[in-house]
Amino acid sequence: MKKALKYQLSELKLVFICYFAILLFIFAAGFIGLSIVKINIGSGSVSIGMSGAFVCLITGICIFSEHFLMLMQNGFSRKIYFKSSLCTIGIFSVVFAVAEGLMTKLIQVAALSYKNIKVNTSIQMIFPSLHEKLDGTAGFLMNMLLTTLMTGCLFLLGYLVAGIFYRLPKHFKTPFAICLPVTLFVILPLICGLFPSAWNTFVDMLLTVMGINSNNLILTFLFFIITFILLSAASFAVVRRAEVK
Amino acid sequence: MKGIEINGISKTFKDTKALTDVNLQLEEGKIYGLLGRNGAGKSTLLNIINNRIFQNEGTVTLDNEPVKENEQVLSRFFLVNENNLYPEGMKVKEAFFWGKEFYPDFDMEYADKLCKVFELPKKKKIKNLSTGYQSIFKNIMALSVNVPYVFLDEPVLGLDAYHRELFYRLLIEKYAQNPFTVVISTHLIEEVTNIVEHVIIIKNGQIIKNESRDDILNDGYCVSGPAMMVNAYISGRETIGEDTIGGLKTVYLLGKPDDVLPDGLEISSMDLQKLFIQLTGV
Repeated sequence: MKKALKYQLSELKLVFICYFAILLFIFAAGFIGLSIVKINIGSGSVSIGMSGAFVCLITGICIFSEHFLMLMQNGFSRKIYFKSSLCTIGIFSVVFAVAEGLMTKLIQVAALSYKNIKVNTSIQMIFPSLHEKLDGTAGFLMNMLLTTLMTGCLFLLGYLVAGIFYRLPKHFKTPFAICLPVTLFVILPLICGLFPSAWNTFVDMLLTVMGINSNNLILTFLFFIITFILLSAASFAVVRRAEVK
Repeated sequence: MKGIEINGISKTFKDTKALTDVNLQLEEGKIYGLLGRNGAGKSTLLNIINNRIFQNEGTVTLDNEPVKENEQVLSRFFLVNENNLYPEGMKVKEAFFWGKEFYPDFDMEYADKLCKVFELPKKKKIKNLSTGYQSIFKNIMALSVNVPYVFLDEPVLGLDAYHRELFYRLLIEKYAQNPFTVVISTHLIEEVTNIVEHVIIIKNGQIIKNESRDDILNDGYCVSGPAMMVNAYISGRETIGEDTIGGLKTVYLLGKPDDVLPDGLEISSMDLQKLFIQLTGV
């Protein structure tokens, strides 16, 4: 498994380096620009969590087919490939969370002279009422832990979606590819608009289960741990019968 | 028995029965020719042996160890076929690097030497190579991994005559230095006749011949001559095919020729390609 893991990690390090290099460049250019131009900017809050979420989802999608075929060509079993993928996702999630935490701190320091700009960690975005309590070292560590879990879940979600897509027969692939964005950006907003009370009840239930309504961090962590386990089980079920085409 | 044992393998794709109750043994250190017409089931069989696809029934074992999902066993196999399973952006030299990582006995020097011999550009991306050069790349990988069981599914696809000859020569040289099991699946039967030791012919998903090359060629013979004389000779004998050009006729027979032949008739040994055509024809 070490060899498979070495391969998968080395393939992903470029993603990691590029993403944070681009973020650094954007913020550096932004702050330098602001200091040169010296305009009055409105207030706002910033968090790099959302962009990180997309990167993780897309990377999870990319991991599946490229790595699966390469490792199958080189004599690995599906079980080893999956274990290696899971370890890769775990390691990448931790490193990503640390890097994101450090990057957020860096941006916070750079934004000190701009009192209108609030730079939030992911955990502060989710628990705005706990904003003050989640500052400092304890907040940094909790943010890292939560980001690791969220990142891991997003990676696995992308991995699972890619795995399902890979295994679908040809005539189902296009409908599947269309269904996902249509569901997210058309059907769900429609349901929200047409059945607001039902939608609100559902969202309320979800936020309660996630511990966000009650500001219960333990419940939030538990939610993401269980989600990670369920996504892993589903992904393994997809991988173990995947055939090389 | 040391080697690969294939027992009762069956595979169905939707409503097509690709393989039906295939039983085979692949011994250590032999070169096998796996022959069959298009859609006969050759690639399906190779993919099942190499854990790329799953069989519906049957087992594949190596030295009595199951092959399916067993990386200890799979690390001793290497299959190349027309599918390129290497990542889109991977360069030839990167594929060699990872080949060395995954297969400890991978001979990097030998791979580099073959790249020079075949003039394969190492810095190029695999997907940007021509069909022929993609085959060359895969063949170099297969010759360099140094595993006991190498499976070559259409290894000379897209190769010109010079490169095909070169590949066969290198394969024989490699085999002579250190015998390993090679299974070559190809349509170019004439070219591999002198390379393979054992012939497996597959037709409609079933094995119809599984013999040593010499035995299979000694199974029959050809009689040529004037059509009337040939017709008289073959009366009461088992024939498997014939060719007629003008007044001359060649007939392919099973069995052994008579010690004494009528004047005007010629005996020649069975041609593997001809035998294959006769056996697998409709």
